[in-house]
Amino acid sequence: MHRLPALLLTLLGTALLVAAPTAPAYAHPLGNFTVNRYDGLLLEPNRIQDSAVVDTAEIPTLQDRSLTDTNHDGRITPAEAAARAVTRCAQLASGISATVGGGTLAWTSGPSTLTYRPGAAGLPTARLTCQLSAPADLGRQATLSFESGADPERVGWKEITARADHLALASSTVPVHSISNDLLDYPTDLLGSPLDCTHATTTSEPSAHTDSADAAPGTRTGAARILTGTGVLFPGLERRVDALTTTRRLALPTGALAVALALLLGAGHAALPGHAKLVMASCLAQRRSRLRGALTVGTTVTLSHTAGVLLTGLALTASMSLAGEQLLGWLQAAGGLITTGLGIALASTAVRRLRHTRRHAHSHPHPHSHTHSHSHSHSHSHGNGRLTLLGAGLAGGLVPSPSALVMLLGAVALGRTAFGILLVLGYGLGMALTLTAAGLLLTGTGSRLGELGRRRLPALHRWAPYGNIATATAVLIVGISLTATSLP
Amino acid sequence: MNRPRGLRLLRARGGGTAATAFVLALAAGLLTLGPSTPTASHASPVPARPGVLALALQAARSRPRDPSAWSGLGLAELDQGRLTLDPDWLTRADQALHRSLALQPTANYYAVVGRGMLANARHQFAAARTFGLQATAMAPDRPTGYTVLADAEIQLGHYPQATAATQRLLDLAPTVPAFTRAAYDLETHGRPAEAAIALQRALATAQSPGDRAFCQHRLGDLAWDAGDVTGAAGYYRLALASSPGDFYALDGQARTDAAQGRTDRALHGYAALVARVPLPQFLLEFAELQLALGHRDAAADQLAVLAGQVKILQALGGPVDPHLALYQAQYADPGTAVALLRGEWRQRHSVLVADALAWALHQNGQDPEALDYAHRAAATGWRSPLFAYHRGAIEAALHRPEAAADLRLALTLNPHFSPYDAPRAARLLRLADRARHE
Repeated sequence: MHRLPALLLTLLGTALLVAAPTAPAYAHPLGNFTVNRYDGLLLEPNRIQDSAVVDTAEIPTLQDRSLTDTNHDGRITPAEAAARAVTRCAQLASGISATVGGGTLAWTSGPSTLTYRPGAAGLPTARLTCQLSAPADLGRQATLSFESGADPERVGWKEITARADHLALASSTVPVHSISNDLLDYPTDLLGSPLDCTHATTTSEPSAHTDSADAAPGTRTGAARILTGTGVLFPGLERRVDALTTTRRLALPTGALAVALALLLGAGHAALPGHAKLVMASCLAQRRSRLRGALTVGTTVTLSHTAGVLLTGLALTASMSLAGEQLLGWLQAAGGLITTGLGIALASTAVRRLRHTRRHAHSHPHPHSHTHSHSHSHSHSHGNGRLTLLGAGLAGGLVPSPSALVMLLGAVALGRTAFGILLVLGYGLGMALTLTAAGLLLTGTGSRLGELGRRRLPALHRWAPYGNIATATAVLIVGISLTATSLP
Repeated sequence: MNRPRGLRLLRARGGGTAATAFVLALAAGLLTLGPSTPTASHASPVPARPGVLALALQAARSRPRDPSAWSGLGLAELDQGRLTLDPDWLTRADQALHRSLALQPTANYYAVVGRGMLANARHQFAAARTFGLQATAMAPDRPTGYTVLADAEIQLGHYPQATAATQRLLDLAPTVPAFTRAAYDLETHGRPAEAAIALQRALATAQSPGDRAFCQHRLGDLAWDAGDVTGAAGYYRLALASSPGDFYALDGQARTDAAQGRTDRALHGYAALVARVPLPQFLLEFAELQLALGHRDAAADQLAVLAGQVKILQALGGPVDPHLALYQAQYADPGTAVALLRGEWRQRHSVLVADALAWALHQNGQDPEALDYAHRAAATGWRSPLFAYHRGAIEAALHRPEAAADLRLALTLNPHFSPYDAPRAARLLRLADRARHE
C-alpha cells in the first residue's frame, strides 16, 4: 500500500481532482465520477409510482462491472445486464423510506432496464431504469414524505418530481416536471445550482378534476418570485433585512435593527429618480406654505404606501388565484391615472397663475414684488391645493415598491405577520422622510435661486411661470406613460 | 384664507384618522389571515440560514451586471468543489469567473484570484502561477493572491519561491490558510515537528468544521509519517468528529485500522470510501491492502477502475496524478507510466513527480536514471517513508552501499507505512545487510 505525502494541501479553494473536466463532448456531462439519480413520483388514489433512473458516469460504471459481468468473461451480455438491473432496482427500492400519514410504504419493483452508452475514452456509462410502485390510500387528504435514499456524500445530480393523477396536489416541495428531462439532458444554466434533492413532501387531496397537478402549489412563493423578478435596488441592504427577518428567534435588538434597516431602505427607495418627487416638488413650488405642505405629502405617502403594500399582501394571502404581477399592474394604473389628473390640475393652475402674474408683473416692477405675488398666488391656488397635495402623496405611495412587498410576504411566510407590518410601516416612514426633506430642499433652494435671479437677472422672473407649466406638462406625461405601461 | 383655520385642521385630522383606521384594518386583516406563530423551518421554501453558495447565487441572479457578484459566485463554487470533489463545480466556477472578467476585464482582483485557485484545483500549476503573480502584482498587500502563488510554486517545484510566498502570506494574514501552507512547506523541507506546530496554530484559529477537520487529518498524516499510528488514529477520529464526511480522514482511519490489525473495519472503510470518491490514492491503498491479505480477485476490481482512469487520462490528456502513475508503473505497464510522468516532469519539477518517475523508471528496468530522479526527490529533505523505500530499493538494485541506510530509514520512520511495501522493504534490507557482511 503506497501512501504519498498528501499531494496538495490547501484550505481555500483547491481540490484534489483527478480528471479535470476539460469537458470534451463525449465525456459524461457531469464529470466521470458522478452517480445521478432521478425519482419521478406519480400519486394515484390507491398507489404511488416511482419511475426511478440512475445514470452512472464512466468510473462508477466500471466499479459496478464485476458485479454485472457475473461469469467474468469481460463481456456484459443482455441477460447479465437484465439480472443486474433486477438486483439494483431491488436495492434501490429497499433504500427508499417513504411514509403516508405515518404508515411506511412497501415498494415493489416492476420492469427494469440497464443500458450502456459509450463515454470518455470509449468507456461505457450506464443508465438504470426502475419502475417501482407502492400501495397507498390517497383517497382522502394525505401527506407523503419521500426519502430517496441516494447517498448525499456521493457526487451527482439528485432530482425528485411529483405529479398527481385523479388527485390534487395541495402542496409539494418538489416540481412537477424534471428539469434534466429524466437525466437525459442536464441543464447548463449558470445560475441554477446542480440539484441535490433527496427528500420530497407532498400533500394531496381527492379532486373532482382529472390531473390538476400542473397547477403549481404555493401561490405565495409564486408571487414572491414574480416580485423578485422586478429590479431589486439595494440588494445588500435587502439581504440584510431578509437575514434578520429569517433568524430563528427574533430578539428585540434584532427586530429593531431590521425595522431601522427597513426605514433606511424606504428612504433610499424614495431617493431614487421617480415620479413622486417630481410631483411633490412641483406641488410645493406652487403652494408656498412649505413645511405644512411637505408634511401633508409625507404623511399621505406613508399612509398610502403602507395601505398599498398591506392591501397587496392581504389580497395575495387571501386569494390563491391572484397573481402579484396583475395586482401591481392595477395599482400602477391607478397611480398613473391619479398622476395624470394631477398633471391636468397643475397645468390649469399654472396657466391661471401665468395670466394673473402677467397682469401684476407690469404694474409692480419693484424688487419686493415676490411677497406680493406670494399672497396672491396663495389665495388663488388654495382651493385645490390640498387636493393636489393629497393626490401627489397618493400617487407616490399607491404603487407598493417590490422590495417592501417582498419583505412583508417573506415575514408572512415565516409566520411573522405583525413583524412584517412593522417593517412595511418603517419602510413607508423612511420614504416619507426622504420625500419631505427633498421637497423642503427643492422649494428652499428654489425660492433662494428665485430671489438671486430676481436680483441679478430681472428677466428671469418673467420666465418663472413658464417653468411651472413645463413641470405640470412633465407630470402629465409621467402620468400618461405610467398608465400606458401598466396596461397589459 | 377662505375657511376658519380650526375647521380645516379638524377636517385634516378627520381624514388622517380615517386613513389610519384603514391601514389598521388592513393590518388586522393580514394578521387574521396570515399564520400567527413562526412556522417550522421545513415549511418555508427558503432555508432559514442560506449558505455562502446560496447567497452568492442570489447575488448573481439579482445583479447580473455586477462583476463582483459573479466572482463571488465563482469562489463559492470553487469551495463547493473542494468540499465535494465534484468537478462539475469547477466547470461552473470557470463560467462564473469568465463572466466576471468579461464584465470587468481589468483590476478584477477576485476574478484573477479565482481563476488561479481554479487552475490549482485542476492541477494546471503553471497557469495558476501566472494568475498568482498577476494578483500579487495587482495588490501586493492582499493575502489571497499569495495563497494561489504559494500553492502553484510548491507544486511546480519552485521551492524557494514557494517559501517566500508563504512567508509573505504569514506576514499579511496569520490565519488558517497561511498556517496550513506553512505546515506543508515545512513538511516538504523535512521539518515535521514545526509543521505540526503550524497546524496546531491553524487548528486554534479554524472556524468552520471543515477547516478543523482539515487541520486534524493533516496532523494525523504527520503522525502517521512519523510512525505514531495511535496518534494518527486519534487525529483522524477527531477530524471525523469535526466533519463526518471528511474523505481524507476516512482514508486515514481505514489505513490506521489496517495497521492496528482491525482488518475487517479497514476493508469496510475503504469499500465505503471508494464507493463515494474513487480517487486513485484511495483505490490504490485499498487494492494494496487486499493484495497484502491475498484477496487477489477483490483487488482486481480496484485495479480495473484505476486502469479505466488511466485510459481516460490517455484519451483526454491533462495533468498526471502521481498515484495513478504509480499504479500504472507497479501493476500495469511501467513504460506508459514513464512516458506519462516524463510529460508531467516537463510541466513541473515537484519532488512528488520526481519520486513517482524514479519508481516508474525502476519498474521499467532503467535503474541508473531512476536513481538520478530518486535523488531529485530527496532534494528538499522530506521525511517520507515511501520516498526512502523507493530510493533504497533503487539503490539496492544498483548494489549501492547506501541502500541499507535508506531502507532502514523507511522502516524507522513508519514500520507500517504500507501493508504491501513494508514487508518488501524489510526483505530488501535483510538482503542488503547480508551483502554488506559478505
